[in-house]
Amino acid sequence: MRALHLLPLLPLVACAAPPTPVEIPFVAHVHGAPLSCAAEVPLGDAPLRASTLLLYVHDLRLVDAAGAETPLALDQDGRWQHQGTALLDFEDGQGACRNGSAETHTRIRATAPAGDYVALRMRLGVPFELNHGDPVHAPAALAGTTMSWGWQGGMKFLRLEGRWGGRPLKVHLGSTGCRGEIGAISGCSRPNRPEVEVAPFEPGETQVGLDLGRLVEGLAVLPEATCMGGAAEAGCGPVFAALGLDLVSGAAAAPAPFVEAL
Amino acid sequence: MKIGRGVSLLIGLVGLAACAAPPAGDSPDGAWDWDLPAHFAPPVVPEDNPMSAEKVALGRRLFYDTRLSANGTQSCGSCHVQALAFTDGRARGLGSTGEVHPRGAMGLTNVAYNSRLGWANPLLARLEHQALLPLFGETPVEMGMAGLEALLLGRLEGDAVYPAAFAAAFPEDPAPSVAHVVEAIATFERTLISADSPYDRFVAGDTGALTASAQRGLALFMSERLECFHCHGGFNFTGSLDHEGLPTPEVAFHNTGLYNVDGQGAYPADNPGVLEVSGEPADMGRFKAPTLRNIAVTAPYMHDGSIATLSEVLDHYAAGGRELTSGPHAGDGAASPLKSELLAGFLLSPEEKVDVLHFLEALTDEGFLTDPRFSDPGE
Repeated sequence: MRALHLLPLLPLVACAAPPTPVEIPFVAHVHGAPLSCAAEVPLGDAPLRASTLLLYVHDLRLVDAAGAETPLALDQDGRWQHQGTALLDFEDGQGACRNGSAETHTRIRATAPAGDYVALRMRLGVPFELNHGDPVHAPAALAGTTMSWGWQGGMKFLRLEGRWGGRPLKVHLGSTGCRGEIGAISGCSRPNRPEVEVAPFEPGETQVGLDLGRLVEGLAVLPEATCMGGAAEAGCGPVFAALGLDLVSGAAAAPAPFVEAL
Repeated sequence: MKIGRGVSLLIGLVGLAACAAPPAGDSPDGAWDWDLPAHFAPPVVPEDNPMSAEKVALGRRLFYDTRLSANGTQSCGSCHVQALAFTDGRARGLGSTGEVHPRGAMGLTNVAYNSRLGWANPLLARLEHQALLPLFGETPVEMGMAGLEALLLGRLEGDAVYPAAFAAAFPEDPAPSVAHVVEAIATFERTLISADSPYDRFVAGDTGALTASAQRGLALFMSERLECFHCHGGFNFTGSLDHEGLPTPEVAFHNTGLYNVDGQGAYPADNPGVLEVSGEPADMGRFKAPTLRNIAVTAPYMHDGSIATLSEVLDHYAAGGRELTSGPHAGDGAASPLKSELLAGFLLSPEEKVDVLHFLEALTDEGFLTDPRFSDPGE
């Protein structure tokens, strides 16, 4: 008798689209020239070489033509992806990337219901709920010392280092003005979590381009090409603008201009 | 209240507590035996990292192991030297690759009682988390292990002694790990208790333990004229204290008028104090007032070692702030609008200054500086 009662439900069940795998490739480039550990690329009139590039992304969601958002469910791989957060690692240990391990992680593996999507949105960084766990007992994706923001508690959201025209290049981003204790942070006055919108976005086709030239070109005139996240640092004005972040409040004012569809 | 009467009361309360106690260690019922005098409360131990003799032994071995630095030249003990109460005599610390730290290595006297670690970090509450900073920090590089966890663990796993030592310390999770490294080091650090200075013996009833001069110095230290005890108070002579008897840890950071670079109270850019972490302008120049125990052996003084002697430290507080008349950091700290309201300055005669210095010297615990339990286990 029970089976008969189920029959009218079957058409409803068939309407829900089953989750399909989605792979999202990320590409680091400098105004279109791919960034590699092995070679320099020109930026302005000086060569740029990156030795370190890692960043976190979270809250990935696909957007349909009507503007409705559908969250992506990240594969829980016990290494790079934890809950809704993923660590992207572009260093292959070759060339200038001496401190990187050979393994990279530049493609996010996730699932989402099949559908007609036109854009991808996400945030850079680690969400507050995951960012301030006990650093001694963190899940693998959040345990690496390279991305720890030790003195503030939490993680670096983006870490870019290298040399540009003979000057050291350093961009570190994380939440600042945090309160509480490491392991029990109650809040941070400057979250510094950029919004990202990639459009048009065709799952399986579109690559997410990170234009590091766009990110740092505003540092060209400074004696040191650095921004370590502080509101008073000269380099953070142009870098925060490229991140779409309000320099004073650390709020996301607009989608980060340096991230676009490829 | 005259100090004499206060001490008599203390003697009455303390009674015979100064009698020999069994050495600190595991007791039969599993609780850690701290071996403390009566005027010390036990330190707080986090529930997720209980004390054990095996963990202390492992932590001590790791503390003195130069393989915890990437280039093998530095251990924790390189900057935390027992004879100097676990500091290193430098104004600013020097990392394994030659980078100079903005601040001096802090002493580890009674570090188990510190509610906050470091000179000016209001977020750093646990020794386990502090240990991560010199190991993996990059600004500056200290032990240089950022991104090199596999190298560190490979060294430990391949060692003749460590695998068994980790298994003994962490029987439910025996493999070496970064977590266990910092847990063990923190556990060893918690045993670094200094409670047997001449002052402590005086408090416990030995009226001859402090000279008459040092007793006058103690009275001056506790007086409303000098007010030292406002920031360096309690049994550990600090305002940032945690122990089993406190409902909530005491945390305090103070601007002591060391600098006033811009006339608005600014400190030099490499050491703005708590401001660097909090982002709050009112936190400019605020630093922790550390314990004064063993202070006579931890020169130079202040977060950047910019005051060379205890005599000059007293001059600084007597003046209510420091005036630098030349150089890149010139300015009158006594006129800083941000300096602590407790820093009013005071008159101190030369004889009284000698008395205070004698008292501060009486906080030196020679046994702590030479205790073989805290020294390099060797091989």
